[in-house]
Amino acid sequence: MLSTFDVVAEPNRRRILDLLRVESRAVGDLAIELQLAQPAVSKHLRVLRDAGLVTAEVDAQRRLYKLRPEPLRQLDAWVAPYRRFWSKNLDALERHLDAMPDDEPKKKGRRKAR
Amino acid sequence: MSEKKERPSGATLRFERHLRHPPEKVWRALTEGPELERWFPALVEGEREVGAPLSFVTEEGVAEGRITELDPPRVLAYTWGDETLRWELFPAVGGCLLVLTTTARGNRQWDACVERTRNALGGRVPVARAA
Repeated sequence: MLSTFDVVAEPNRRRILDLLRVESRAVGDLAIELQLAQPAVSKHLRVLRDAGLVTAEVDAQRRLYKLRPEPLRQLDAWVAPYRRFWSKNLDALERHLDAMPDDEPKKKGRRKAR
Repeated sequence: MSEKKERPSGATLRFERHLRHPPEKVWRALTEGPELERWFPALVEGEREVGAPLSFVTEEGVAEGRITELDPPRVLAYTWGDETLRWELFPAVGGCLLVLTTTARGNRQWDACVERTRNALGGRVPVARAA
């Protein structure tokens, strides 16, 4: 079984999730919206269901797919420290760039680290 | 051509910053020791050449890496332990656009954790939007 990362890594599955984030949809609607063949969408939905990212509910004659946010929240929670870490470092880079002179100081041997 | 061993899965994060500085200057800040010391979270040692090994020294210890791409002042990429970092600079009005892509590797323990959590009720972790 694919991990949540692998499931979400596929771009069309991400597009499906983006659409379902807004509202539950049937396969046909998703296919039209994404301009994909319906069997392809069904295949992706199967993968998403197996991973617990979507559920299907029967509404009249149709089956509506609905997003389950919990796995994505957990993914997000795992990723959050990395995001914060690099965000902070980029802030530090910007502060340093603001303090750094634009002109390159004259020095030799720039290829070595120090 | 398929490999039997499981490839590690991970998340790719992408950061974009519009910088009020020219690409050449930002490149120096990304690659030169004395500049890096002022902001980078590790001391970086190694030759600035494609394929050259790098050492990253932090309070936690030393991690190894390698330069994978080097195209001044446009692309710099290297590995740092399990992570891959790719820095791209695009000229822009008033300075440049910096794009940092980093892959954080997941592991099986994490996947198992996600599985357990998925099956449990609750999960009051707030959803954060990408930076």
